[in-house]
Amino acid sequence: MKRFQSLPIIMCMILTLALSGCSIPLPMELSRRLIIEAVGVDTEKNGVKITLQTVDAFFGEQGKEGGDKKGSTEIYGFQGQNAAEALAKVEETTGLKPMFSQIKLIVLSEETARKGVKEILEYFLNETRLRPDIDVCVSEGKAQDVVAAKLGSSAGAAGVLQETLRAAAKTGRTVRTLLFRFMSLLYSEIDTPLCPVISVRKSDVSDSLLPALTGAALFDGDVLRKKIGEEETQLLAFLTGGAKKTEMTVSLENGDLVSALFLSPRVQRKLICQNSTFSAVLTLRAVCSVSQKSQKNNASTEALLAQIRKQLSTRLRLCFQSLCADAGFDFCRLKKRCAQKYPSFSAEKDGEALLKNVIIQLEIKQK
Amino acid sequence: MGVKGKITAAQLYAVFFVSILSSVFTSLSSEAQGSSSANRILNVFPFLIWASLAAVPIFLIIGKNTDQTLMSRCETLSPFLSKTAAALYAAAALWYASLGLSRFGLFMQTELFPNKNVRLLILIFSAAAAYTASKGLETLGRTGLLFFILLAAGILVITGASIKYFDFAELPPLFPTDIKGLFFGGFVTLTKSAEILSLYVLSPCVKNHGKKHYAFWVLCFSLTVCVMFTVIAGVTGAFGERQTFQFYTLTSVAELGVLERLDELLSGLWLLCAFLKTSFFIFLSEKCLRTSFYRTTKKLPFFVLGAAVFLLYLPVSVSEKAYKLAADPLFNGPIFIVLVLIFPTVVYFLSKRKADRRKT
Repeated sequence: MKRFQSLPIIMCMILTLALSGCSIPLPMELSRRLIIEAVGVDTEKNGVKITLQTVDAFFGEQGKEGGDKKGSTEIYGFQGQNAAEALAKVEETTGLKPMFSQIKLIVLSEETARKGVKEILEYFLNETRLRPDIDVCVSEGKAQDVVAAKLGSSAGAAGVLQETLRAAAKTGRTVRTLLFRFMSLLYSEIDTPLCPVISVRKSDVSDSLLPALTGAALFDGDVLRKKIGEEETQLLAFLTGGAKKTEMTVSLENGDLVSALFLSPRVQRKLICQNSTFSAVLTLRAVCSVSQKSQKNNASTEALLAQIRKQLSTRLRLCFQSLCADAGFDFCRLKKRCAQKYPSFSAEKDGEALLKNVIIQLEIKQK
Repeated sequence: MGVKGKITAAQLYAVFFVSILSSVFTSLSSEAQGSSSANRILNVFPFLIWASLAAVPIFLIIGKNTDQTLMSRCETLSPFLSKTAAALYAAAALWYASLGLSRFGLFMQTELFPNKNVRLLILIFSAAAAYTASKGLETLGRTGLLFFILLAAGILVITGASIKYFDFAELPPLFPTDIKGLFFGGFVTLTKSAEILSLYVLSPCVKNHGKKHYAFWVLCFSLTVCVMFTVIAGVTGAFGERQTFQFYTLTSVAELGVLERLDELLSGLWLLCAFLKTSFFIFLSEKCLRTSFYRTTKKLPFFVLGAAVFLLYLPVSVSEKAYKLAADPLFNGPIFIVLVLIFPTVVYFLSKRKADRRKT
């Protein structure tokens, strides 16, 4: 059996040929790849325009022909009747093979979102091999303006946009939506996908551009139905338990404005079924921290908390009613929960009746 | 020092765990094991029943002292029957090895090296697996235990890294509306556990093997599958249901601090699992043939069997459709029922009747 002793070594040597970095006869060098960090999708008259924000892997060298060199990133735009046709032009225009696995976010223009996003997102997921945990957002105006914006950071505009989304989601100012979660909500069909609305604006102190979040976009299926403002987004995050830390300004009866920080709001959703009438109770539990300055001007902490509770409850109720008024939506996943608890319940048929019977309870404790 | 050529029950069941878990998690979501995530989670309960049912003929055949094999029982009836059984079980082991290899090849072709021909890699893989099989059961047992530890650690890391995306609202309603489908799903999971066939052949090579080990393994395996499918459903939701490899989708969204590409960790783990599975089935096949057809100690049969596995892999791996056809439970199910339940039960009762007659 001596002749078999060298077999493992020979096998290991042959295996090295199969490693991904050793493709024969054409090795795929980094210089031959177009590393894409952000994608913008705009609807044009004759189809779509795809804007790609790419990383210049060889920053410092001469910019590539056709590329609009801005810092370490380059911007490319491609038009076609659909995404497939537009992206087919990438290689023939740049001479580089596109690499989608480094994408950090997809920006869809409002116009595109209003026409339906399922087809285009499925194309990216199935054909380009991008990662499913990237951010999805809707742009105020053209997606190209957001993706091509020079945001003054060596990390690239995509990195700045992503960090902005992350930070805003923590405070409930926006709802961060990852692609796989967005698609999951889209496929489940009994829930409402929503994603942040993003834009760029000029800085007050310099000429540089800054990312700005202006609320959230609510989808009905894959079509953008409604855009809500920043406060509504914040309240929605509070309602759904999506925000771990939310700061809100509450105006008291005496006209004082109190800034209150709410921590870890927990939302309990109770479903009650009596004689085939469904009703839901949302119980929100929050710990409120009010600055001492605000407390000094008020008689007692209890009275202050009662006022905050009253004001916030009213605002939450109004927000909920406003959101529910747009028929077909299912906030806090009540329909799904109801369908889970009562399989005989038809979410489509009685959904609206359920949404009308929602009671919001708010329990606030002081930190 | 252990007895030469023997492994412990823990090592054997570690091999089973690693090998079967890789089959379950690399299953295509479109494979008929219950179409919804809810069914996949609930499948473990009928699986427990099916696995208990499968244990009955196994422990009848191997006897109280677990020193009997199916072939030795057949030998008491007829040498021809013994040879036929050996050939049948060897062929089944090769078939299951090639199915496992095809599933792994499909995974490589769709996720790791899209649109690339991976046949050369699979050929080398088969040869390496055959070489490992030739090193014997002790080597496989030790490797199995090591891979089990790696796999358990890997699963814990992946679960921990993806748990932040877990949402109870993503979980499907756990109401078994299709009981028939649920039981079928449990049976399909059992057919993926073809490694239990080896108990008919390898039982005398396992030290202190008993029913409690089997029961413990079935419970642990079911619990792991149940928890993992719950995590997959809670994290990826309806999106995961539409992905070819659900577990791979889970790892691609998992991140642990600076470690963001955990799908590579899973790819590595699956490589180990598929390697062990192929080696184990090649070893099992050779063991069946060795006991009935030849007594040689040469390693050449292992490589011949490795080549046979590769040849079987070729037609199955032509396309996803071909694989689905080969892995169809309506085709594999009856084979599994005959090999695990019917044939051993018939052999047991015939041999028992013969023994009783001799006594009288």
